[in-house]
Amino acid sequence: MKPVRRHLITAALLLALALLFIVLGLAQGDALDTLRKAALICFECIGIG
Amino acid sequence: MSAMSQIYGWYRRSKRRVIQLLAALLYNLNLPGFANASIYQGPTKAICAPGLNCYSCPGAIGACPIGSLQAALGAADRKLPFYLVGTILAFGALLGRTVCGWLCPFGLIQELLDKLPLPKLRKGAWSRALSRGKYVVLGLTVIAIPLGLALFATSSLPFFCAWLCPAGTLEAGLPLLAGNEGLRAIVGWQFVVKLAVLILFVIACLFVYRPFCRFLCPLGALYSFFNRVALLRYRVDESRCTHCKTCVEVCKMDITEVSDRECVQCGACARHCEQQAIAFTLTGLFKNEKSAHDERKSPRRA
Repeated sequence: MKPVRRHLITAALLLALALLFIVLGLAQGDALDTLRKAALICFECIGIG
Repeated sequence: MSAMSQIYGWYRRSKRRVIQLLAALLYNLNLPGFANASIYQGPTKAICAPGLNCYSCPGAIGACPIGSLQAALGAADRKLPFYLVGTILAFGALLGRTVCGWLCPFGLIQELLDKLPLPKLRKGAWSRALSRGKYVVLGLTVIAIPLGLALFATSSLPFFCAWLCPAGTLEAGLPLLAGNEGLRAIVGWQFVVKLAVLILFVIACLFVYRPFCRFLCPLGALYSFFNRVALLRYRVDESRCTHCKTCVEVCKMDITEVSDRECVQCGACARHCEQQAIAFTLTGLFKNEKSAHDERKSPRRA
């Protein structure tokens, strides 16, 4: 198989896997966890945690 | 020459810089936050930005993928962080380290510091050796320590954010402490350490091109695994390439070939290629695309 085609197939498979993971994550409430963390000042990030 | 064509000519020359500035602005649209020394708390904070942009930056309207990943790995509920892994996987498969070269605000800051006319350290064996450091930082401070503490101790720690990340100190620590008396009152020696790390990096940026991206950035390390298969990247037309290695020589990163793990897709190679064999494309348009993997498999072509 030509490298161009192989790379395209690999990228497409990775994108499909990414989509599956995002859907699974959304289903288990990961986005809300991310929001909870990101919406508060991260003391570790600013160096006082 | 008309004003429009002059503007278009300037845009063509400065396209990457314009996109870097727009990306930095887009990540940090909460401009009133800088005046109030407060952070945005709206729903877009559930979405990760592709580049390294601290979510405690007063302007940030999105989450930092590395900070979020550490928080998820160190969370008490011990769920697999599918959402974050999927997001990083999607950015990686689509863009690879194009994110580093075009969409990362901290990369932009380092490039602007590199513009100052001071003597520069040239890349070499020393920088190639140090460039492995980012994988150690990723494995140890982003994954192993937060996860290990969550599994075997009572509480976790986002070690990279807490002790290493200069982006957090610059984008969040300094603006928040400057405008918030309450935060200033509880500052301790951890901030002093982080400030020292930031100052060291600013000094390093004056003499070394993008030192954080090359030697320490865990997000760049993650995206580097996708660089050879990402949809949008620089590709080499094998039918035009004369193997002169000008692309490797002019590149300021520690690449051994175009679009390898160290390549941030800045395009310096394409500008210097006399054969015009290198182009930034969404999919493989060249029939004879060069691939290091294939060269290793068939030594005749090396």
